[in-house]
Amino acid sequence: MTKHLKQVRALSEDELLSSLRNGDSKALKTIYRQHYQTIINMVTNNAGSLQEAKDIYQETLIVFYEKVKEEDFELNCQIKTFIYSVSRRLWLKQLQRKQRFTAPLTDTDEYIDLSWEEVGDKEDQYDAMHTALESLGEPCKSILKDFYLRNQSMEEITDKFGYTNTDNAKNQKYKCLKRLKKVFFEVYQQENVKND
Amino acid sequence: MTSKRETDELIERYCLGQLTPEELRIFEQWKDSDPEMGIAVDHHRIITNAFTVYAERIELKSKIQAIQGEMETEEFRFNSPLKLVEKKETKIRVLWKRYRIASVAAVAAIIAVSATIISFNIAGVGPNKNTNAYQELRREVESIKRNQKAIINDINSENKDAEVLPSRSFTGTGFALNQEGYIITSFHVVEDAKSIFISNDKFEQLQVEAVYKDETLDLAILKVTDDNFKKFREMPYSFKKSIADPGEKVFTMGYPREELVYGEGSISSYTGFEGDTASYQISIPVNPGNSGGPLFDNQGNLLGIISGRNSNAEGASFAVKSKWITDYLNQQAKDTKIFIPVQKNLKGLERSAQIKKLKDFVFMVKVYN
Repeated sequence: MTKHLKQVRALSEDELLSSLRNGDSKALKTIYRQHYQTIINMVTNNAGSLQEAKDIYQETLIVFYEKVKEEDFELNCQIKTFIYSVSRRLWLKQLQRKQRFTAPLTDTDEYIDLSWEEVGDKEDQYDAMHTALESLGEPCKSILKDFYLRNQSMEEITDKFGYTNTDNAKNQKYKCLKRLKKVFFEVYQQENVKND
Repeated sequence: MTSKRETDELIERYCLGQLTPEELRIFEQWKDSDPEMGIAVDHHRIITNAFTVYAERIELKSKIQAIQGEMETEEFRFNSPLKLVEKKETKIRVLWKRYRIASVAAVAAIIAVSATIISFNIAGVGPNKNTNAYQELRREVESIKRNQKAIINDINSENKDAEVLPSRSFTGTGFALNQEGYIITSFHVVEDAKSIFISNDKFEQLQVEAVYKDETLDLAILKVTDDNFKKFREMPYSFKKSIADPGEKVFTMGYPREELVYGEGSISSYTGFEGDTASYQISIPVNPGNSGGPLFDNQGNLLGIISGRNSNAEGASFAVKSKWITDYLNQQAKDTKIFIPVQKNLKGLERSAQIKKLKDFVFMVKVYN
């Protein structure tokens, strides 16, 4: 009987992962609820406020989801352990950034010592992109967002921004992208240097 | 020789796999002979990849915040009803600490009572909220107790700026102002908001930000910031420019609970609480969560926004008049040019058909602070 139960449980963790991979929002919800308290406790037990704990947990779930979606990703431990390990790495990074804490973390769970490259690469990309887009101002920000994020065509953009022809719009887009690249790579490379 | 821009476009098309075989052959030769070209291609790939990461993260973030919000709403639901009453009382006390246009409002009230002719140009705009009878109707959804350990940690750690207040959330109602993603609601619904979301049956969850706020008129204009958002469908209603008369039948839709709730009644008076000339008194029973909801007449013209009720009187609710809203939009928010629609597609329809057309434009406004 116990054996049977165990099997069911192991299966459900796999099922959870595969439905998460297929973009099932219920699976994300289930996982979010399952590990919420553990991570909130980990952060608040290690000099974090409740709000910081929530932010770290949300960030963790984003990283977890992105990882699961990667084609070559294989989870060699329980979901619980992986999530704890990611949270832990993210929180360490933040403590370091805020220069708040030097003593080792008090851990309540098993964890794998993940490197920042494994956990934070997409966060670095996101941060650099965010900084770069915000530095642009209008109309560059909107043109690039429309083209690269909303997949609008150059014809639509020409109309929307009132350019006399598509070539003018393309020229503007080219200049904007050039400026974006400059800021993006400055920030992105800086982050990479810091992490070395 | 090609220009820099043409080179860039070539790289972009190469990365997208859009080059013709002939172009591809020349391009690859060029790339192999010029290391700069190789770097430029790599950079372009990194940038487009970062765009994808950025877009996916934004979507994921709002999904996850929605889960968090849902959990907190449930936490509230499972709490005892007793607690709800307690919270409501403290909340009201805090909210009544607002400023008022005291003497002017009082004078206006006396004039309104003693004279039979009512002038709309007398001051006294905005309800006098410095009294226990006026109740604003936003609904408190959550009050998380702080983890004790976190509090102890704050005391021990050197971090003095850690948050002291528990995080709270409120809900109210709001509705679309135009197709471009502008939403209108009550000021007190989004007061002190850190993040604001709107949702209804059609839109699961959209992040918005407050672009204009006016405490006196109790109005706030929000704008959808979600990257996935394009446009609302064509608006079925527009603002009524004239003042409605007492006796006119009116209805509202709002979110006093998780579901959209319909309520009807009529205009009771030209003036609102204590003679406030900027609002009507109406006879629709409203509850916390109804604040910010639209007030329509039988033809589906927008007459106003539900703002509060008199807690000492039965069936006395208040709504800010549409005329004040359009004036406000024309004057205060003119630099953004918030376009006000002129369509009227609801005239002559049955009420249930009107609601069917309207419901996608009415939102629950969730506020976290």
